[in-house]
Amino acid sequence: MPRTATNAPSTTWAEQGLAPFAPADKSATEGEPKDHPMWDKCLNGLLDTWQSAPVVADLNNSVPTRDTVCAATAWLRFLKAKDPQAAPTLITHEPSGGLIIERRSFVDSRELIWELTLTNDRTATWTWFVDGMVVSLMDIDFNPPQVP
Amino acid sequence: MPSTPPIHSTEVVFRQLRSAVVVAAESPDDPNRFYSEFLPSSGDSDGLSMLRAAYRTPVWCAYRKAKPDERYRLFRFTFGELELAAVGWSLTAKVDPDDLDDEFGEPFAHFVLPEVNKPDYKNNPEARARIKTWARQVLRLISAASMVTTPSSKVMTAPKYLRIWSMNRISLN
Repeated sequence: MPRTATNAPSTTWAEQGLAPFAPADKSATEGEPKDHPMWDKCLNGLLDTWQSAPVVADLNNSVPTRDTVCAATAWLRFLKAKDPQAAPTLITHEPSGGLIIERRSFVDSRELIWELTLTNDRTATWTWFVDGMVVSLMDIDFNPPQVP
Repeated sequence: MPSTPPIHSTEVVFRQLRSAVVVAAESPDDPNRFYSEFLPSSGDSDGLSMLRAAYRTPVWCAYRKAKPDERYRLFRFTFGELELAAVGWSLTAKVDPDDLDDEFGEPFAHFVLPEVNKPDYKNNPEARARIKTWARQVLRLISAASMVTTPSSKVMTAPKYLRIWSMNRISLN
């Protein structure tokens, strides 16, 4: 896939307020970066989860449904296309049923976390934290925009 | 008849570690894996559940009547530490007897944090942001010493520890 395509924020991406965090455009002479190994780890973890995931949500259980796992997989593909180096650092269950995908990094000794929460009732929330404080929280589409 | 005293900042409290199911983690020691333990679940409509160490031993705090064969790990805090994590708002505690409290009477060990409730978390974006921030700040307080691991259910049997729990309650009254 051409680099210019992966780095250019889509309209939907920008509309959802996530564009400011898309990676800066890189030089055309720069070598193709290798994918971060966490992408495979996340996808394998989701595959394992999917195999035991129920079709119908259980309100007393944090286990994500197959729909939620599929949406998480699609979001991972979308995020990977946007920035192959910015892999999630953790995926856990959401207490009411669903998945929390997050990436923690440090910039200028400040802790930055983005968090994507997908719930079994098909809601999705994108949250940004700086040093543990929410600085941005928005409801977004359960399924990601199409990868260009 | 004993009553249930109010909760003070210096009081030791426990939080049951429910699931902490990790699908994938870059580091197995990442404390963020416990983040979801401090978010309200569907059952927390009145607030996040906590237990008072003064009125229930760790072994009984790790037990649930609904799941008698399981023993849960616990996080140990002072209530003041949980208050400290509430940046810009006040965390309160409300006594809320659970199944074991109903069985054994006052003083009750189970209480909830009303501000950390599921309906607000689900329906109010401001409350959701506040609760998410609180959960992240609580994570910063977690150290190895915060985790209490109780023996497995194969070793512990309810009748024996019922006696210890009862003795604990008697000694405090």
